[in-house]
Amino acid sequence: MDQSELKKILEELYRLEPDLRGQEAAIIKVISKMADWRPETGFDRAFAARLKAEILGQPAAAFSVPVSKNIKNSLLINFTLMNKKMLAAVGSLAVLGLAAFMLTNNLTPKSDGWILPLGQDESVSVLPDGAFGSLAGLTAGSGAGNASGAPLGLGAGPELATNSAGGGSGDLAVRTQADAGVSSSFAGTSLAAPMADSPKPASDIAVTSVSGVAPDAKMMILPYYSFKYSYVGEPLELSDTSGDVYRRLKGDGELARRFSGLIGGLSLPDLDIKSFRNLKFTNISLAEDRDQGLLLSLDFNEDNIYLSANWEKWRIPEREACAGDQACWDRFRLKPEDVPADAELVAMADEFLADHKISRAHYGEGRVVEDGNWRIMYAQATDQSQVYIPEYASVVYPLLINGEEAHDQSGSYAGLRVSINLLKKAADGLSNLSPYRYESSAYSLTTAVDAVIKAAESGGWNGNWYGGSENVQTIELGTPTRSYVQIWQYKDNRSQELFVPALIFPVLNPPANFYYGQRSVVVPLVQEMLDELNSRSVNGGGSSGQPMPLAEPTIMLKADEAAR
Amino acid sequence: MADILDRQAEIDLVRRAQTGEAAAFGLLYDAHIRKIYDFIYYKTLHKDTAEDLTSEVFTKVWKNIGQFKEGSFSAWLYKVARNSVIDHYRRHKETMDIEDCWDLAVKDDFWDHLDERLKVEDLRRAMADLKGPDRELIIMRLWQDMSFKEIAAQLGKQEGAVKMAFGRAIVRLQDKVSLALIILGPEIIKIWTSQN
Repeated sequence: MDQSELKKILEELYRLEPDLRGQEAAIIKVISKMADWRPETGFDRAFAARLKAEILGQPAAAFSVPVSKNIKNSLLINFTLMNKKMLAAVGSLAVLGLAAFMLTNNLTPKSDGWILPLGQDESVSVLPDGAFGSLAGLTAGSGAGNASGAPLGLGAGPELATNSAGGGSGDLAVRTQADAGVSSSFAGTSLAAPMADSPKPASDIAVTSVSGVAPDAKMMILPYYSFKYSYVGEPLELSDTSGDVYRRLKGDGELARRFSGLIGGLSLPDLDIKSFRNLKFTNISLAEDRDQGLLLSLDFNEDNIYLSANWEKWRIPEREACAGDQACWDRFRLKPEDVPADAELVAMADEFLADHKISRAHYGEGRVVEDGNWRIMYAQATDQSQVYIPEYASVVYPLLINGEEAHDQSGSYAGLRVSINLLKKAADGLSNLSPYRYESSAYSLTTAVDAVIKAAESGGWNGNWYGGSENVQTIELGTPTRSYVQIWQYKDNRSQELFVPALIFPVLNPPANFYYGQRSVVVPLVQEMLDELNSRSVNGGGSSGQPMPLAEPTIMLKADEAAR
Repeated sequence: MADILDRQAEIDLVRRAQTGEAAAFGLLYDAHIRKIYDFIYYKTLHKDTAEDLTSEVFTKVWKNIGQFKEGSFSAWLYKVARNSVIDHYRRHKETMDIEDCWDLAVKDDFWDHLDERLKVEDLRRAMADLKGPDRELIIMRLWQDMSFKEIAAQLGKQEGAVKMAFGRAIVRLQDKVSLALIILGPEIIKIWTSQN
């Protein structure tokens, strides 16, 4: 076992239980022996490649949309159990259905493309003030939690509160502490290159520093930093006392029923379709049977359309044959110069959208979004060969809400996303395409500049999740832009997609000497959300350097249940 | 393939995977496949079983990605992996107490290699002396090179509690009869092999 790693373990143990020092010799022997006896796992990269192709070869939309369990399982299970003849028949039927639907709805490509009318025509319906109910719980769920990686913007609202033992800020503290550790650890790590059969995972290439431990030559010792945010932009003026919150309208079932009507006239082998009652499509998946073919998935519950790689048609047999040969695998690794310039990637995405006649009427200009922030890591790495460059790039066309480009809670653009396979230099997927149908409702906005800046300097929606440390780095925030931020609300076992007015504060001085991935800080302008955010920072839940004492995070059980 | 993902990047990828973007899930897969496979292997010591269960874990996670709402994604993966291993042993054993291979009698392919078997028998005795959660700490800290912070996050516990549990597991190993075997293992093996 590496001596510095051993010392590190010992230091950490002694810090908690100093009495163990008296048994040091025996402890070292036990730890060393146990570490040395690590069994060889025989990890097979060819197996990993095959499995990936098999798993991702399944239609993504049928699995991945956060809808109710009952709805989600209905058609999916049926498709899984059907034999090939039945699948072929249903597939043909789906094509017929699509064609019929497009004809009956006069859906023909226009000069500027077409919008898939999964529901009614594009629209924004104005509802009375406060029609979406209280938004306060959304901040609690997706704020500190999201910062710590907990709810991922999806676990907001009453459901979270119900499942939290302590509720409110107590629950926030739980997640903040639990994840602050992860954050600090990951803050000092990087995307790492694959190792063919190395018994040690690549995680040891970067560790957080421990006093008194000499750095090993192989290690990238990265100090553990905390961050303090400081607003240095222009003076702010907030004059609007109210503003619209938008909610995306989803399928009302009418479309699904119209498709389902086509089923009745057809019989399937070994199955009497007419014996089922009130059938409706919940999703349809079609696959292109060609090299670099795509999967087309229509989701009628979420009113979404997805395109993804038909993985069987994108495989790289030469790489799969590498098995445990690391040098062979490395031949397929991307180098920075292999990644096309942003303009080229955007051009590829533009062409992809044009080829499929997908309208960009409700989206801004495409921007490249870097997967995994690899450029930052690459620039800072002491051994750049260890930095993995993702094989995919994304181009996002920000959704336009009230003429403004929408963001997510991290401050990244939210909207139509085109995935580009960098190995094949071809677009291989698209997500977040849905009809432009929204409801709007006015909510009280804050005019309190001090409260907004206070929230921003506490890390905004994401909080200051890097936790406490003696090494404090000041992050300067510039003049914000106003935008709409996409959040999710769970109600009645369904997810609702909301867009709330917010300010996006750009990070002006991202640290150059260590990894820091955040590009902006987001602060909601809705009064009740801001109040809750600032209350959180007062209570030490999301933005204080030192996390609160905690209990077992019961929220993990929920995630577990979802997968069992 | 990426073995480690930046925290924020992981959050973003999960969000995207939840909107149906297969490529995003592919990156998550790349980042975690090795660690999850190894983790399962350490709990089964059987390559085919580890591959089967790894397939099961990632298929399950992909199917349910939309339902994932709370917590760390990698912690969720570990939890699914842990449950899959337990389910595996439940399927093959009547008892409900088995958590992993260390509770079982010596068998399966890992034990079939004579050279390995000698040292692994000592290892097995040592590991069998520990409780399931303590074994997992040994696996994660010493075999998977995870920091205590990472382990705490995966297990949903405080870092301090994890360190204390680890320390006690090490002390427990000392106290057991198997300590002599652990420390003297190579020497015993040499003696044993020279006599046979």
